[in-house]
Amino acid sequence: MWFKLSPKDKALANLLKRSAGDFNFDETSAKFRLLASINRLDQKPAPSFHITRVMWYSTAFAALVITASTTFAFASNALPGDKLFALNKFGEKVILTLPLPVEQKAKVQEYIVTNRLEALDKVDTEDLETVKESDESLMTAVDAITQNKTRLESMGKTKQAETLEKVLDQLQTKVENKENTIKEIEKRAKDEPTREKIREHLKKIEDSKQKARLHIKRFQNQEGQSHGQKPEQD
Amino acid sequence: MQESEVQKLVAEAQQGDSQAFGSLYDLYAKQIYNFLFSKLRHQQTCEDLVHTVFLKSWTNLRSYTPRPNAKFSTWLYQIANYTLIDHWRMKRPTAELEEIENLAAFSTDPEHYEEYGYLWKAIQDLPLSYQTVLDLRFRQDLSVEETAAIMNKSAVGVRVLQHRALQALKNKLKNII
Repeated sequence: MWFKLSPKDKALANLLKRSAGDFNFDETSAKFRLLASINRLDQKPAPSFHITRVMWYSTAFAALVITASTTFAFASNALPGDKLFALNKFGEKVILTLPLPVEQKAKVQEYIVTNRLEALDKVDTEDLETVKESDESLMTAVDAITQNKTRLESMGKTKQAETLEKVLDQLQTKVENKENTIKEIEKRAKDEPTREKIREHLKKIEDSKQKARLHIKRFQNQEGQSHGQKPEQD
Repeated sequence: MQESEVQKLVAEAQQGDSQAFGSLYDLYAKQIYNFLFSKLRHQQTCEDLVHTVFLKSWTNLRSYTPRPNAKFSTWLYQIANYTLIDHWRMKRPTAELEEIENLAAFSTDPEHYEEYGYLWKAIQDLPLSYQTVLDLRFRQDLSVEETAAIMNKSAVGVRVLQHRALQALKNKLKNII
């Protein structure tokens, strides 16, 4: 085998062994210096940070991220009345507090309202909660978008204001399409108090729709003629 | 001293017992010094490096875990080898180390070193890794596995390095003798 020493190599290895010996070394003073340094460090040996501990922390962090993201992913599909709906609403609120451009925020709000309105189709019998959430999300969205639109117009940012106007237009169209659905839910309601509450929400939804229309140019003339008023300035 | 007794001292030192660590120093300081001096050949530098090696081993002592085939001395040599490589990279071109001291003058048996002067001269010109493998394998009489652990190489890698180092040493000796 190539790694076995040849006779010449063995002789050389023996020569090396024989040449070994000690060099003069003042061990005592070196030891004194070392112990003084150790005392100066004034600490016990540093605790080791084993790779297992790093792996444990990494695994725990990964598990936390996976659990949180999975829960939020499930919650994002939760409808009003579901157990995870509160988490879904919380997630939406967090997104809306992010420093996003106003157009982006308006689109997020439109997405939220659309989800709430679509939830109305999934209601089997009467569901006051779903109607209430539709009303509240629409009102919040219309208030925020109209406010931002007015602010942008006053700053001369007409292009951004137009984007918000389109979002308002889409919202009012979607609401208009769902008004009959809400009326159906109202009819299916078991008792009069529930029906009354659904009617109240429907009224508020219509008010929000009207408010949105006041900010949409194609409605402004006819609204102005019918109501005899100018577009609302927030 | 048996390795089990060494491990007992290590365990005490790991608990912060500097006296136990002092005993470990007494056991291995000379070996580490010889290992370093045979390559650097400068007393003050080697004393400083021995100090550095033991200080590093003290501060990292908790990370040392005894294994069946890894003695405490293997771990110490490993630290010494890394310290030597670091020093070699940083200081080798300086004038200080170019003025290499006469080995015989610093040996406990000057006549012995005079006798092998030609061998030391030949080794001195070899690359550091060749000097290290020859020192560990033949002067310190360590196994291939221990040498591999110290030099952070595989056993095959150490055998290859040892073969090359012996060939290089033979060539040097041909030119000298």
